[in-house]
Amino acid sequence: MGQQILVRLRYPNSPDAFFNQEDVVGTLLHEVRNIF
Amino acid sequence: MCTLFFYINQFKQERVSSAYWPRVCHLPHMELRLERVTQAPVQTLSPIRPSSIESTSFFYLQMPDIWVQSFTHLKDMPRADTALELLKKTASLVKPIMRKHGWVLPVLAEFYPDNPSLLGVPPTFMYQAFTDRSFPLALLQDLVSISVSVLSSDFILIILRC
Repeated sequence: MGQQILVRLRYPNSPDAFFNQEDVVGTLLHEVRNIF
Repeated sequence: MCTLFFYINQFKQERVSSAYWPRVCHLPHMELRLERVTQAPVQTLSPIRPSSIESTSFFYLQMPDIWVQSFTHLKDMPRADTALELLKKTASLVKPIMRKHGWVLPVLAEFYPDNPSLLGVPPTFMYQAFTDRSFPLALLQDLVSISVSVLSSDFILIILRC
């Protein structure tokens, strides 16, 4: 594979609760930047 | 180290007139492919189909406005539909950045690892579509140290040091 970005959406202790939208966007931008 | 040639005259002409993708860069291995499209592409743009990465070929396709092509969420977890909506909203928020740089991400996936401090895993490679907005030289200057030498009036040599 390798063509995918994996992001965590849920808190580790409670799978019902999601991260905020801003946190997920920050994670995704960080991972997009990490490739370079 | 890889070397590539291209004609300036052809390049300028393509930048003005081409509606297709003549240049596709495969970034992580620093292979740079410059190819010319002489005929119109026969494939049409395929819609977003999750978990079918092999069927989505980026080469010679007309430029879509799709930069994150498919989403994968964990169906066994509670509130899975909310997770999918969150993924789609996130992809739409980063869409201007992806469009400006020409990055095409095949899959954006949710995961739930055991390590609580792990927030994301980057891709090992990602496609880069050279459009009029993402000029190759401007991209390459960010990536590697390049040396450009003009051999003749319409022929330049670019040497990449990866």
